[in-house]
Amino acid sequence: MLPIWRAFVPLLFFATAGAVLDRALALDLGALGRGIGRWVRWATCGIVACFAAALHPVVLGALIALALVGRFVRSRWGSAPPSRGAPLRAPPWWGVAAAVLTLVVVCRPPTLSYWDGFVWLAKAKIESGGWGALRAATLDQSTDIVPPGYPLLWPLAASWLSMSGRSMEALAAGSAAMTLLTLMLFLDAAADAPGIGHPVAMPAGAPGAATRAAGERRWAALGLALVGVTPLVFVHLRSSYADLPVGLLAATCTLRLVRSVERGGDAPGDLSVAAITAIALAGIKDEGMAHVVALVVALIVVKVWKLWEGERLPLAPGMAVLAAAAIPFNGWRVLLASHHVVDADHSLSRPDFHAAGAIARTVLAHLADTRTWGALWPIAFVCAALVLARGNTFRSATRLATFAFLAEGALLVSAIVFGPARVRVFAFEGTLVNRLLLQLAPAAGAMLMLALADAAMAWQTGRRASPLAISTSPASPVPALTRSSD
Amino acid sequence: MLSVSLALAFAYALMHRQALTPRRIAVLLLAAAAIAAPGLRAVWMDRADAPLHAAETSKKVVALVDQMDTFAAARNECLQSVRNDCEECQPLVRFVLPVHTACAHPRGRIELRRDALATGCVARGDTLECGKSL
Repeated sequence: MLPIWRAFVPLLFFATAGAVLDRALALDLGALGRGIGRWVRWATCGIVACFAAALHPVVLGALIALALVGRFVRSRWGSAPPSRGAPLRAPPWWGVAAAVLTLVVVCRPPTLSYWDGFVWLAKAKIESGGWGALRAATLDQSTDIVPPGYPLLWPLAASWLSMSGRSMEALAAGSAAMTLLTLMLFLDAAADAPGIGHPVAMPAGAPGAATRAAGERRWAALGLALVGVTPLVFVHLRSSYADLPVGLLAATCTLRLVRSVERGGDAPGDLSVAAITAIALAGIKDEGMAHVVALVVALIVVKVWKLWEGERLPLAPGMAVLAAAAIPFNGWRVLLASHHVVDADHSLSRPDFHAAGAIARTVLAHLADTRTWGALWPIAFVCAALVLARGNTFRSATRLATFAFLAEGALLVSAIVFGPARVRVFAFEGTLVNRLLLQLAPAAGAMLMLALADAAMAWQTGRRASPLAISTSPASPVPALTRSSD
Repeated sequence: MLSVSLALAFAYALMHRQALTPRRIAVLLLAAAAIAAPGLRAVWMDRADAPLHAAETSKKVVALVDQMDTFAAARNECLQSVRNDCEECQPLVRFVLPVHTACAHPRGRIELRRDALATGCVARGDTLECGKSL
């Protein structure tokens, strides 16, 4: 078992720092809901702020300035203050899922079994030598850091959460604590997702609202369980790799952004969480930035193709999230360039279109590997096709989540085509494709969860003729009760 | 093929309201778990990192890392060379020596042969020999 207790004091420190920032910058993180979710959001905010400070004070200053601009815009043009409503309590199975996942993550031998030790924990050990040691070593060309130029958040967080431990077990516990944080953040967002945690169109006190919300949560559990029975997810939950956390953060960002867009100015906390996860994504891996860009592309596609029912779809929340991620991403790039350090693995090169066929075959072979993925990918892609083909059955939120899933997948696969030759070697002979697919698995889970909840809502209302029954007419193909604008 | 059939059944359930009952979706979930069963069996029972074998693998890893750590620390992590023919030891060597900086008076060699993880190391003078295979 990992000595996870080492993370308790650092987590308390980060949560306190996050709570202070929440109050100072009016991020509304605490107002989203009480309980453990609030502490998870604060702790993530604290870690992200410390990471920004560790990169460069200017990066932290720019992020604070962005938050202040957001606060000013809300107060200047915003309407009524956000209505808090009565946050729903997470259902019991959510607690069970969190407890089981925690046991899976924590109950593993405290040793390194994979190349995660090579890439991440060796760097975390450098940071344990003192605050800023990893940044200094990475920006020093004379040191042999492998791979050079990679973003720093993951090893920094592993070191900080291990209380600057230098042993294998301490650092593995630090990275496990960060994995748990991303897991809880995702579960928190899934519990709050539109149509899952809150009945989107019914007043909280309306008759049957609670029953319906509980029923939809059951569907959410089934959707997420499809990801949970995936063999490779189990392997990565017990490792210090950053790919599953990247996927969890990307899915959290999607769910929170969707909720923010749906609720408009009523949900500043959702936008804050989306921005914080986007910063974390840009700070963990270069692919993280690709996830954020893909999400914004999906938002633009949904807007341009007029796939958003109800009120006009605003792009501002998406742009705010993109700007938040761009600050640490570009800040790190500027630091690397000014110290003449080259991130050889992730620099763009001339695209190798000749290899496109081989890449497609490799990706397909991985997708069809049921020993690694079970039936996850066929189900996810059929669900995506169904949402695209029969959009009227599904709410705007589900369509956006589906486009985000597809855009993230397309961008990650195209990175293999446009990346340096070394990346294609990793794709053909190594674990790269599976790790990229792992980054997509939580996004697939979020899409399945929303699609199941939509179909279930249509089924339930179709079955029972009640005051809650939906009306469908040619003018309003989307069930009126599920309108995002309501 | 099984997984594609399951995906089509899932799509049918989503499209046809009558087919979408919690019980049917639960059956679909069980079918998905059954398709994943060989993989789940491997990661829970068969692989070296599976819970059933993890303790044993862990002992080997801890022993090798401790021996390399002690050897390197005695020389202030300033080693002459590391020869590594053991692929699975690669991450462990990097963990023990995360930064290969140039140092003034390098002393000592680590030699990792292919079976280093299984057999452990012996220190002979200024050389730490890990593994017995040639």
